Amino acid sequence: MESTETFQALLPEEAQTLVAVMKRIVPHNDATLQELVWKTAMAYDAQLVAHVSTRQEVRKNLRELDMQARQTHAKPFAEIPPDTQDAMLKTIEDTSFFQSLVNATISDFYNRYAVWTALGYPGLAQRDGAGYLHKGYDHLSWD
Amino acid sequence: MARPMLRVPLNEPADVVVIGTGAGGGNVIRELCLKGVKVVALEAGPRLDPDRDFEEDEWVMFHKLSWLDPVIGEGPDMTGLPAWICQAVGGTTTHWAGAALRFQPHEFQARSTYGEIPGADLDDWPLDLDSLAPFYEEAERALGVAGRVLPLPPGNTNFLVMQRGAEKTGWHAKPGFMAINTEEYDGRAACTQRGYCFQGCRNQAKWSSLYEAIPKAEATGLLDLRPNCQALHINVDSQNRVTSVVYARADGQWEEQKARAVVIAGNAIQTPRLLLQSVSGKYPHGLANGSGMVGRYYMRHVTASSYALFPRPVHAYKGMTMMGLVDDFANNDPEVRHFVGGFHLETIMLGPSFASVFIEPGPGTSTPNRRALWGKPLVELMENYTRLAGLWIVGEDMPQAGNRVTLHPYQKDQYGMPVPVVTYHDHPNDRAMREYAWSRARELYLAAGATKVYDTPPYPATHNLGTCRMGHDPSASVVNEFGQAHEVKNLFIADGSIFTTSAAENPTLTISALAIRQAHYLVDLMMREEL
Repeated sequence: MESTETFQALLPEEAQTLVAVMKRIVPHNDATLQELVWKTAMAYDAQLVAHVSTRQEVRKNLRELDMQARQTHAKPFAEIPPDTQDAMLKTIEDTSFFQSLVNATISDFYNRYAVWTALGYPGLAQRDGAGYLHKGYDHLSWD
Repeated sequence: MARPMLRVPLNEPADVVVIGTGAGGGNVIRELCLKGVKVVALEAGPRLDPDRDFEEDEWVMFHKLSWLDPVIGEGPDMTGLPAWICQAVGGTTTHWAGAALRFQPHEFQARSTYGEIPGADLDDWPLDLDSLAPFYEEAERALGVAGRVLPLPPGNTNFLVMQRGAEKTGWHAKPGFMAINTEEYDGRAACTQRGYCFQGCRNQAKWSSLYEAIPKAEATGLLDLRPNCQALHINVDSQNRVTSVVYARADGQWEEQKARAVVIAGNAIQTPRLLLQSVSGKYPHGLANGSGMVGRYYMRHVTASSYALFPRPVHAYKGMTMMGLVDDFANNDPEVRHFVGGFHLETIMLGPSFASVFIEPGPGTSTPNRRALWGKPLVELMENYTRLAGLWIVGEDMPQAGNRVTLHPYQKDQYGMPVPVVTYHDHPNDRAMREYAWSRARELYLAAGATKVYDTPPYPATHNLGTCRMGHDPSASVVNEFGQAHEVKNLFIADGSIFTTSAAENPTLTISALAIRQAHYLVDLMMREEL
């Protein structure tokens, strides 16, 4: 289990909210994929270290989201049920904050080799240059 | 034994300074050096080694290859990055898919064929297919085009799905002419179907000037290639002749290279930018811009994609990305389709990360009104990644005077040079074509058994055309049929910016053929001492 202690730009509560939001952006049921969201969140946090204005904007939005969850559901955002989280995110989905966060989350998450493996994409195996030449590039399994 | 690298002193005029080393610059450089001309080539980007530097990672290669200096987009169609072009030795031929199609005859006569289209300034090219055909052949030999000088490419699984749909709808899916080695050719290896065409070909099976034209030119001992050197200004004398190019080295130091002739091949955004910022007493509106046409008629093709989910695995990421196409819609048929010009449907696939970002993109990577896919619909797409098939729509867009590249009034880059502003609005003809093409693609995939089809909007433009239009009339165009500036006889342009109209075909082969033709013309002028 990862910990919010290792985040550098976000405070632990903000990091909890971030991870919870990202888990709803890529809500795979697979436990391995769920855990990998932490890596994406930490990579995002590391980028925020150098970008002060983005960091302030992100922290403000994460705190607002968490505050709203506490006011309406008496719990932090990270602890309310997934469907309720989705409903809350739905109300902010067209904000530039959320759209940017979606972009940052999916471009990092789906570029992780462990995620590739889980999706059945063998991209890494192409490093030797040998290719799919004799490995079914020209055969559709439904024919 | 390799010859020592040529070093042309700065104050000694190079025969020709070529700016840019992509499809245009690369072909010119090769032809000039093989004919004994001394060339200094300025390339804004680094020289990468295919085996060491090309990686199987979309974002890593995006950052290694792309032109990431600021370019501002204006207009409703594209936010974030207006154009996706490369800044590296080899230019965008490192990233291109390899589709090497010739234009159709009528596309050189767009104005005569399509007639007057309100809002568009169509024109006929100053040359036709017959005059370009011998140079298409030369280009096809140089690039190694499968279907012309090599066997046609075999079909990958993405193509087999396209073919299945085409058979059911009565259209025709066929292997495309591809500048990818289907067997060993010209000292380069055969394609092993890795599927990483867009990330740079590690095996050098897909043609790039990086490992074909440039090394051949270097082997003559007549090429002085200067990577990481960005051209900033072109100087002219009182006789309207280019005399030198000022450029910045990677360390920030500025240099001035004297030249007898200059060929610009920086693509349809950076080429007009360089001309527009090369202001002098004689050319107050930019070099060779007496007509006011420099920067105008920016075109980027009508593009879009369709991705389709199938009940069973496709693994469309395997093999040559763009190996097959449907060209039943490439002709001009306005009575039936209610728009002029044609388009192709070409196989395409993205890796998982780009697929998640671009199949249903958000406002940061597409148009401002878009909403990125997230949550359960995204998971549905990505957990079915291996069941996706995809195709790219590429068709002719209309040249409009208001679609153009200009200089930002005050925003400057790291060299103090004005940042280019790219303005583009779809013409009604463009929108009609895109909607029609999406419908045909949907029909094709549903016929093939798809359970869901995504209408994917354009990616940042990779086909950047127009902006230094070719024509007979010096008051309505920038260069003549050889890419020679009407106003400055020793100044040439060799990239897609000289296209009079955009045609429906991927532009690289035509850029290459025009560049080879230009190089022959340039050598003739030099032999006759007319340059």
